[in-house]
Amino acid sequence: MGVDTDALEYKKPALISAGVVIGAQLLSGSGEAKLAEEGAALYHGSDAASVEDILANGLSQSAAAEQGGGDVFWATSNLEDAQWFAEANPAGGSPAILRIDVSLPAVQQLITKGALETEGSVFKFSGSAWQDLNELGKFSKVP
Amino acid sequence: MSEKIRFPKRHADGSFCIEVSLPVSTNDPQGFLERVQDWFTQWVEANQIWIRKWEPTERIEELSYAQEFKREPQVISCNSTELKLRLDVQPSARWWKDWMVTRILADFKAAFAEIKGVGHIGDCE
Repeated sequence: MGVDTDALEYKKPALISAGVVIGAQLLSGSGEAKLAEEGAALYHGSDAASVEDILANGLSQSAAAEQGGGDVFWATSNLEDAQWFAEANPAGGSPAILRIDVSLPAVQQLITKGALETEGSVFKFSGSAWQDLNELGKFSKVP
Repeated sequence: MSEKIRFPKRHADGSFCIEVSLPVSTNDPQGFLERVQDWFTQWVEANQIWIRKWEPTERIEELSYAQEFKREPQVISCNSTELKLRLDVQPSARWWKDWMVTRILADFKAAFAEIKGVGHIGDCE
C-alpha cells in the first residue's frame, strides 16, 4: 500500500493542519475529551426575531440581506463579544444570541473547503458555508 | 437601504453617532471619567492601525481607525454605576462594530476593573 496522493490530507496538509490547530484552540481548557467529541460552541449576536427565524428556518442569505448582510456569516467563540454585537443589531430589536454547536470534523470540512476563516475568537463563514452550517450545525438560543 | 435596518440612524452625510453605556462600579465617578478619557486618547494614538491575520489562509487585513471613526471615544457621563461613551462614526465606516467590540471595548474592559460586564448600545440622544 503506497501513499494516496489523491487523499485530501496529502493535497492540503497545511489546511488540515490549520484546522487541527483551530480545533485545538477551541478545545483548550477543561472538559477537553468531551469537547473533542462535541466540537465548538460559537455565538452570533442578533435581534430576537432574527434568532427565532434562524431556529425555525435555518440561516438564509436573503433574510440576512434585508438587514445589510448576507455575504458572510459572522460568529465568535466569545459570548461577551456576541452580547455586544447583539446590542448593535441593525434591526434595532431586542438583543438575542444564537448558539451554534459545530463538530470538529465539520469545522475542518469547512476550512478545507475554503469556506471558513478565523482570527482570534472570530469565525468568518463565507456564503458557500451557510447551507453546510444549516446541515452540520446545531442551533439554539442562549437564555 | 432596507427599511428593516433601523440602527444606526444616519445623518444626512451618512455619518452616525453611537452611545455605549457600560455598567461600572466606582466611588470616584469624576476621577474615573477623566482617567478613562485620557486612556482613550492614548489608546487611539497607539492603535491607528489594526492588522488582522486570518487563519488558515494567512490573509492580512489592515484596518484603519480613522477610516471608521471621526475622533477618539468621548466619555459623556459617569456616575457610580454607569459610564456613557459616544462614538462618532464615519459615513464610509465598514468595520466599526468589529473595532468597537473586539478592540475598543475589549481593551477598555481589560484595562479597568471598574467595568462590570456588558451594557447597552444605541443611537446618540
